[in-house]
Amino acid sequence: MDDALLLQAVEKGQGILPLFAWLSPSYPVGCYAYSHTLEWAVEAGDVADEKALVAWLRDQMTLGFCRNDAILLSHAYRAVEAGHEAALVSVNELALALSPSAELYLETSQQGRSFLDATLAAWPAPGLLDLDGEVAFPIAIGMAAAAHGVPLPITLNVYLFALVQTLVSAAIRLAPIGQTAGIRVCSAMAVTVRDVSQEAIDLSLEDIGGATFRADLGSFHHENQYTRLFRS
Amino acid sequence: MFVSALPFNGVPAQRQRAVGWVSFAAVALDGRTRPMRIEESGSMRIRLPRGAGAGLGAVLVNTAGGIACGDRFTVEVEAQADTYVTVATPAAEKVYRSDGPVSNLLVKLTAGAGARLDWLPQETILFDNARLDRQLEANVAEDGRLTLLEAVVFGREARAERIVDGLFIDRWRIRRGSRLIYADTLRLNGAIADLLQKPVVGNGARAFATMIHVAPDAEARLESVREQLPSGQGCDAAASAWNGILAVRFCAFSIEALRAAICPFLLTFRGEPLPRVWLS
Repeated sequence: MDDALLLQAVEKGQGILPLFAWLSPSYPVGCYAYSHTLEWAVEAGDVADEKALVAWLRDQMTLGFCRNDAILLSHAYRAVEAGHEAALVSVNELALALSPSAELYLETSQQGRSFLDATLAAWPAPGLLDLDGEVAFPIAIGMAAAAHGVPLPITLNVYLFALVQTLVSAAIRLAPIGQTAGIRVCSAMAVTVRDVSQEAIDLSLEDIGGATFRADLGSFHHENQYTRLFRS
Repeated sequence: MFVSALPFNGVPAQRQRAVGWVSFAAVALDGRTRPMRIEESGSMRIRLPRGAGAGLGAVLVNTAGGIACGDRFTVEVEAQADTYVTVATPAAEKVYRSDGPVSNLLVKLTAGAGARLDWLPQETILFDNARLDRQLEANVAEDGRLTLLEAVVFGREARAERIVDGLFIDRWRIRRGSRLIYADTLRLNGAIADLLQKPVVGNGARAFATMIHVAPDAEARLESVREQLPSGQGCDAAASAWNGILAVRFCAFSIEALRAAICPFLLTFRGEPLPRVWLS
C-alpha cells in the first residue's frame, strides 16, 4: 500500500481500535517471551496456585513495575501531545534506567524498539516520530497512543490489562494453573488494573517507586536458572 | 464562637531539628589522594584518619547520634580526577520514631575521570514509626569507577521489633557522563512489617542491601562475583550486569546473616581490607 493511502486509512480508523492491534499477542513485539521474574517466582515456590498468582500480580500492579510503567506511559503521552521532545527523551532515559537487571532491561528495551519499528511501518501518524537508540516499552506505547489521539485513560487500562494477560499466559505454561483458572485470574485483576490506571494518570515522575526488592533479586537468579522458557 | 485552647491557633511550635551538611573534595597530588576541601556545618562531620593505602579513607560522623523526625542532612563527596576515595561510617545509622515529619538525607557523589569512589556506610536501622526519605545522586565520568553499598534493616533485632507503621523512600539516580544510567526507588510505606512478608518484597526478610558498581570492568566481573556470592544461611544474594553496571542484591532474615554475607564478599570484591571503622 502506498504510504499516503495508508496514512489516510489509519486516520479514518481512529478511536480505540489501534489498541486492539498494538496490545494483541500477535503484534510483533514478542511479549510471550518474557515473564518479568514470574518464571523464577514459580521455581522458588512463590507462585504455586491460582491464589498465589493473584497475590503476585496484584503486588506487581500496586507495588511494582506496572504502576511505574503506567506513570511513565502517561508522561510520554503528554510529552508527545505537547510536542515536547526533550521531555520525551528524558522520560525514556528514566524508564530505561529504572530496569533493575540485565533481563528486565532487555524486556523493556527490546519490546519498545520492536513496537516502535512495527508501528512506524504499519500505523504511521504525523505526530509519531522515531526515538534514537533504545526505547522503553511503556514509552513507545504512550508515544503511539498520543500520536493517534487514543485517549490516555483507556490506553493505560488496556496496557496494564495486556501485561496481566501476558503474565497469566506465562503462568499457565509454568505453574499448575489451568486455562479456566487463568481467565478467572484475568477477570479478578480487572478492578486492580482500573484502580492503578486511575491512580497513576496524575502522578509525577517523583512518585515512581516500588517495593518489589525480592522479585527483582529473583530476576538476577533467573539469569542462571537451569531450565527456562522465558527471557526474563 | 470558637476559641482555640491551643497556643499558636492549634499549630504546634516548630521543634528544633538537626540540620547537617558536609562537603568534601579530594584531589590527586603526585599520585596520592589528598583532601582539597572540607566544609562542615551542623551535626555532620568528616574525619580523615591516617590510612596505609594509596587512597583516602574518609569517615562520615553524625554527631547528632541518629536521625529523628524532620532532620535534614546533606553529604557531598567529590573524588576528582585520578583520586581514590573511600567513605564509610563508624556505626550503623539509627532512624528513630517520628510522630509525623519525614527526615531527609541527600547524598551527592562525584567520581571524576579515572577516579574511584567507594561509598560504604554501615547499615541504616529503621525503628518502628521511622520516616526517612533518602536520595542518592551520583555522577561518574565515563572512565570513573563508583562502588555503592547500602544496607537497611527494618526494626531493631534484639527487640524483634516490627515496623507497624513507617516510611522508607530510597531514591538512587546514577549518571555516567551526561546520561542517567541507573534509577531505583525503593518505597515502603505504612505497615512495613506486613509488606516484608510478601514474596515479591522480602518473603519475611528484615534486611536488604544493594551494591551498585559502575565501572568499565563492571560486566567483565559478573562471573567471578557470582562465584563469590554466598548461598543459603539466611541470606539470599545474586548479581546481574548490563550497560557497564554491576548490581548485587542481598535479602536477609537478620542483620547478622546480612553482615556474614556482605563482609567476606566485599573483602574479595575490593581486594583490600574493609574500612577500619567497619571492624570497630
